[in-house]
Amino acid sequence: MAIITVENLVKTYTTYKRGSGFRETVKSFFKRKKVVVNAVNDISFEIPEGQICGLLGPNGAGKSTTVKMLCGALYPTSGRIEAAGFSPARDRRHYVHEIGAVFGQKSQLIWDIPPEDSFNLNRAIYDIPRSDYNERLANMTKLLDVADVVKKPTRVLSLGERMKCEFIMAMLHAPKIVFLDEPTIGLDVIAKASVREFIANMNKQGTTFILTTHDLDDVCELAERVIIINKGDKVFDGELEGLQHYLGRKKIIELTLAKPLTDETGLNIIERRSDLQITIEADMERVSIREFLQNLSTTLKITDISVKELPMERIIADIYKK
Amino acid sequence: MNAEYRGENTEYRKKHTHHGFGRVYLAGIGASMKSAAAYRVNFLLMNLFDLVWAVAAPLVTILIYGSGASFPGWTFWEVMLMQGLFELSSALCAVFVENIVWSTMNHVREGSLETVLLKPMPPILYMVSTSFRLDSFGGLLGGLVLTLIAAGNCEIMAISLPLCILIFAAGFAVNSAASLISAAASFKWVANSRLSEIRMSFENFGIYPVKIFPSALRFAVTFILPYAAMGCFPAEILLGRFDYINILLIIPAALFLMFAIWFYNHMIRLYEGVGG
Repeated sequence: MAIITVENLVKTYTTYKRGSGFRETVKSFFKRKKVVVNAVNDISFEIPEGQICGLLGPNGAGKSTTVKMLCGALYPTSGRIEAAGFSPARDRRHYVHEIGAVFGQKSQLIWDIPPEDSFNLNRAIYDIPRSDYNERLANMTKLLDVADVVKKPTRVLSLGERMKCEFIMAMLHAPKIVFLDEPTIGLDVIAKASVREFIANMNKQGTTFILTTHDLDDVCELAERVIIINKGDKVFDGELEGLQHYLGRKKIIELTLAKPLTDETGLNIIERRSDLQITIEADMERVSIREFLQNLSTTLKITDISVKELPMERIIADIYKK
Repeated sequence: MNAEYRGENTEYRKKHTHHGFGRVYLAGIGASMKSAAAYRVNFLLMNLFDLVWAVAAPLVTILIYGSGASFPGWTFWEVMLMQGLFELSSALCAVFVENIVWSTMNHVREGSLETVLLKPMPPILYMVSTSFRLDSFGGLLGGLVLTLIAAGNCEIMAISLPLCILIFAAGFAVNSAASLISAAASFKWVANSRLSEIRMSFENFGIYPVKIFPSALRFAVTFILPYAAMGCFPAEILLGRFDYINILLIIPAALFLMFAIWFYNHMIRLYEGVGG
């Protein structure tokens, strides 16, 4: 069952263009040029309950605007959103009981006091029964290993500790849907792993996650499905495996040669680290990997070979460029 | 889709519409007190400064009366009573409402208002509950001390206390409404600290007897933006010289507050955030 349904979602807003330099600054005092921005352009999708869906796109693609509309913080210009049975912007006050959000660059914790006190404020706001609150807090602090951290002032916490507390803040009221906007930005590998494990754990308990990130490892480790938005348009919507084959069934082959290459005919060399170390790209839709390697071994003297899938970064970058 | 989800179930709506504003407000005050306690020196200095400021505010009056001049019809202690009440009203606004201007401005400038919109309560109530300023308590204490000392030196009509409280509340409403309008204006007029200075310039009309103003201005501070309800009229009521036609000012005061709440909510609806 779809917990989020988005139909023909459009968001346009007006901004002002201002030139640089003294003359333009003075001019802008009297006359500013209006610019209409199509941030989101006729997007439709459905998210089933319990899914982790990655929302990807380059900077300024419209993904944060989409998430803000899904959270109810922005009114769509046109189109329809139904999430957990509500129209997010119209029924915001009821709807937000059902959602949580973690913004990697915007804190919900109160800076000068321990996270535990911020959690208490949320307990009052969401009217969480004391027993539920205590149980959830104990569970989450244990899962994230922050039992002592939540008692220290937020301002003295490391970024990783703070982010873990942001997760608790967003999930104490047991939301059905959680929006994550760059949740692992700036975190070290250990903190990232811990946060990802927490998300996976909560997802197993039925929480739906919408994950906006530039960290493809987050997507590869967590998301079953990916939606890519570019210039306000949806350019890909499918499973991670489908994304892997978006540019065709290509593979990356790293070769170490016994002697330098003399004839490059038929090879798509994408990197040449030295005369003896090259990386080529092969399209498995044109020729099977077995046949390709057989051909290589007849024309080249190879001492080492490594076959890899096309890196996700490359696929995403190609989609972004389109 | 489940009918309960859609909010068609009245029990569901009841459960999720009941915000317990008092409970949230107390939790917000608790958080503000803990925040203030985190910076003890700042907390003490701010309170001390506000206390000194509140007590020293009538300095001009002392100079005027010391030189033999006066506000016509007002003795020195009567003016002190009026200015004490004004300081009390102003400090009440500073403690309970005024900080919403800075909180809103910061949220708009940093594009973090989403964190407020995620809370299941009207944003205006959330902002007021979390904008409590304990470090303005000094002003409240100073205003109270000045009012009590001045009242002890005047002939007070205790029977008129309920009316005094009503008009004083109207003055508080006017000043609070002006804070809300300043806060709402910061959605479009981002990061402009002049907004508060403009508001305070208006507020200063409440610190003097209305009779010293030209008639048009007197009408304006009584029936358009009734700032006179902050200090002058409550003092006149306690001193038994209030013109009862001025009770009508509670209508424009209430309308002004309603407009301010509508305007704040309207600006929130227009909020479009900054780039993500």
